[in-house]
Amino acid sequence: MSERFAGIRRVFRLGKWRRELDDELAFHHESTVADLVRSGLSPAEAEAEARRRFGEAERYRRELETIDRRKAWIESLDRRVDIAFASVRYAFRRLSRAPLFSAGIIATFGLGIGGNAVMFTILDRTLFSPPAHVLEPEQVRRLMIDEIAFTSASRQVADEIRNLDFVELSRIPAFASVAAVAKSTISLNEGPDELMGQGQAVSGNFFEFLRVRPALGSFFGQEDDRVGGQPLAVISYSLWQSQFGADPGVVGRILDFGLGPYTVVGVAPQGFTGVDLRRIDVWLPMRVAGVQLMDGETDCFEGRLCIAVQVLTRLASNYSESQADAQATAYLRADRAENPPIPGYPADLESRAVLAPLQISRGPLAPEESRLALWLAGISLIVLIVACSNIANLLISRHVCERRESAIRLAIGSSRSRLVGQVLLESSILAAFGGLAALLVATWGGSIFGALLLPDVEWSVPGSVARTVTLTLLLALIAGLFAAMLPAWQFLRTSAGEVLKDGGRTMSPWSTRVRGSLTALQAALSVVLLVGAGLFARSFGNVRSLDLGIEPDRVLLATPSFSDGITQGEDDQLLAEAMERLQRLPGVETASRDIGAPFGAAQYILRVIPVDGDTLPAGLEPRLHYVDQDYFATMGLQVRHGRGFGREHTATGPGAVVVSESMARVMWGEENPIGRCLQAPMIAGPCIEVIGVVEDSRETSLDGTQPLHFYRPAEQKRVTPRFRVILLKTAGPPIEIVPDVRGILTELDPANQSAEILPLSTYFGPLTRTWRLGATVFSIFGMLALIVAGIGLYSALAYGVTQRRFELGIRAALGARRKQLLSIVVREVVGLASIGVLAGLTCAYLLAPRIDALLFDVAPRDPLTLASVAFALLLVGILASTIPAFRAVRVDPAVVLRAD
Amino acid sequence: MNLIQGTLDVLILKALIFGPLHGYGVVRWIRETTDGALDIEEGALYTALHRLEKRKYLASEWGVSENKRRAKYYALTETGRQHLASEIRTWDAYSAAVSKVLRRPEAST
Repeated sequence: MSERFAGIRRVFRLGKWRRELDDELAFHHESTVADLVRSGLSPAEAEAEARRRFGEAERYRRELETIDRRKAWIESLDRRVDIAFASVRYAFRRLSRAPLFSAGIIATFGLGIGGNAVMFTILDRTLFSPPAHVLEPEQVRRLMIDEIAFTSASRQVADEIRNLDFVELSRIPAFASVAAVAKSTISLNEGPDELMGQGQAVSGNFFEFLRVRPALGSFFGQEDDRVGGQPLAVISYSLWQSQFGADPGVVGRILDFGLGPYTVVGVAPQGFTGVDLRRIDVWLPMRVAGVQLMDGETDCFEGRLCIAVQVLTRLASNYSESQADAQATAYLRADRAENPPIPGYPADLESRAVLAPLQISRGPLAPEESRLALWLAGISLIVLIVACSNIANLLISRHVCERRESAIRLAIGSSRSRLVGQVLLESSILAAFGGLAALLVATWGGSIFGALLLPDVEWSVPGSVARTVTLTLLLALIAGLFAAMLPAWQFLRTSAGEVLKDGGRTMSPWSTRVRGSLTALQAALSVVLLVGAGLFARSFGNVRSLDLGIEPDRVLLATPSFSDGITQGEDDQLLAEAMERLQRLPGVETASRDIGAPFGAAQYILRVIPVDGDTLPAGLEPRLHYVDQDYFATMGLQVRHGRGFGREHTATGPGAVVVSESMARVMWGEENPIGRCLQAPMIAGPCIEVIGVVEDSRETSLDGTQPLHFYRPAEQKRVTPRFRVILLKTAGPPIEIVPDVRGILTELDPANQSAEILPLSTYFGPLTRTWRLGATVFSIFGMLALIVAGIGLYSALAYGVTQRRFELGIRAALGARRKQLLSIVVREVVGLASIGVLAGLTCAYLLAPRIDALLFDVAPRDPLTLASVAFALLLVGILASTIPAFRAVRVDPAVVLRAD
Repeated sequence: MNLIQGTLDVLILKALIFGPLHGYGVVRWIRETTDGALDIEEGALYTALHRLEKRKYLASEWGVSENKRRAKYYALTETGRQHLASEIRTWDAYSAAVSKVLRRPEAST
């Protein structure tokens, strides 16, 4: 009824000012005429005089109408603002009347929205935004090659390209410009300046190509990047801040990162990380630094680059993407045919160019973590849904509690839309506060969590905050409305008469149903999350217990390189002395040298070795080690056949080689490899006798690639100091003897104290990161959802019991026993929880195969995981029901029935 | 005598300083006080009244006139009162300055 009249009233009000204007002017006219008549004019004259005095009646009338229309509009706006303020004030009063209720909802909103904001910050940095400070990044492409890989004989996409002629490449018409970045970074851990960090060798036009502006000084250019050029360096903003105290005098300083003196020419802008996201501290011209890294091999940089580089290009605007693709593919095919990536590698690699976007996560080589991040974003959304449904549940309970109040308000003429608006408003206010809390969570949590998730990524990038804030507030708004939807609907169904008749004693079947479904939904979503957590936890466990062959837990790795000035003889002398003293060190069981180390702990240049004689199938790339006789004992590798190296394998002793099981199988099948002869270009003489076979060792990746290794005596080859490592098998935890080892190395060469000495297991961690992260994050979010769902279940039941006190009281009065009352409550819980668990398990069962690729050796529908999650959830349900259940059985019929 | 631009507002505010009046009352007061020396079109006076009300210098209310008729009464609001005070100060300073110039003896140069 009242709604129907509202429209008419509105029309009424709009016309009101016009009628008032008429009245006012009529009064004026009549008063004037009356006064004039009284002063002696005839009525006709008085009429004319009054008109004359008023002036142009029509014009004034128009002006007055314009003024009054505006005035009426302003007044109605004022009224609306007043109403809005009153509603907000009322909402605040109501919310502060139940501070615990409000705080709980704000916290739930905060966590739910905050989790999403954090995930958004991470996704924004890794997936959506291009690397910082690159201008017009959408034009930039990474040139990748999709071809038959010479390491595995199957098609692979690779972003590292060897043996390309850059001058030729930049002549491709669709490429406006081409730049290159060395694939591997240079560890800067040596040199008199003791700067730790990562260096990157880049082509001279790198900065110009990316269109970056220096924060200080200038960048090196194309003309600086040539063999024999000046050693120039650009340092990162964070290095400048942390190591040089933001001193502008850093430009022009000469630094030694262990590669010799480099002159600093400039500082990159804050947060600049080149084309990738990981932190880089120093950029060096590729041809200058490369020659030093390759121990003076200048021909490696004169024409074609022999090191592996990533190639970047800006597309010319007058060519389409597919034209660029075709041109690049044609060029690559022709070039590969003439100049194979590995000298002497004959086969047609069927190369195809791939022009991938600058954001690596969007291309074919997206790292596992970025895929994981997408999943995590999905999970955080689920947590938000759980949070929202929980809040909806609480709001419904609250409004059910106040049904009598609302029924009275309805009965005395408050409009239904007003009540609904009030619910939406309250929920929005709570969500807005939740959003603010979420912003706190996001600003602090974003980079902390990001650093945990993707530790290599540089997180200190300015900007991007605006997007996080916008998204957070938007999410808060959506979440607020979403949570208020069902409670609002409830009002549309409330009938004042019915509520007042039964005194608000019984719950309407509708709200019971809705609240039950919400609780079951929460349970179901928690199941999905917990199944995810379980799968990742099991993957992580499997990775941990994986047989690597080598046993990294008891191995200490040292990378000594002595002062630059010493001669080769002195270096040999120092190393021999170091080995001898380290072997005698208490706590060291065995020691050995090697080149490079597992898990990327120490770098080495992997040279591709075509093996003749007893030939190795084309396309395999075995790893060559130079080791001492204790190497296999040190690394925990079992000698399966034949023997390892002995005392006789000195510099002048007999040549000998030990191969890994996989390599033996690949070369000689099931035949006995002992006594066979292995030929490789790096091995002097005709061929070397195989004296033993050791167990396989996995040291680069944990998955299926074949671990092909062959070992030669360290004494028979002098290894470049840069790639040399010392491995020590320790009796106790390796970390304990680090000071002793450092002491020995420092004593031998006091000038150099920067040797890296760390347990080998330190380097193993990053390889298992995907699973560890998945397990951690899924578990955190899963527990969060479980807690929220548990609280939801508890509040739903506790509330349900309160609402049913009347019914339970009657039952008790009629002689129901406690056990029977208990079973009524418990049946409800078990019912709700079972529905939730069943729905959740079904979802998990359907979804799980999609994360298969991220799991390690666990079936995505692992029955053990599914079963234990179901059990856990039912347990939580039962725990959540104990208090309400006991309250139910203690119902005193006399008290309850008298209450109303 | 024509009215100087903008002074009508001040006259209306001044008219209301002694208490609420309806539009016709304001007209009559101004006419009587100036002995009809100012030639004001009454329509202009009403637009000024409404404009002042829109600016919240005046508030209006319907009441009953001396001859028992329904009439719209205008009253000065607090902001209107302040505005009038400041306008009067401005006017005094202005007219003093203008008079000084105009009364200056001519042949002194």
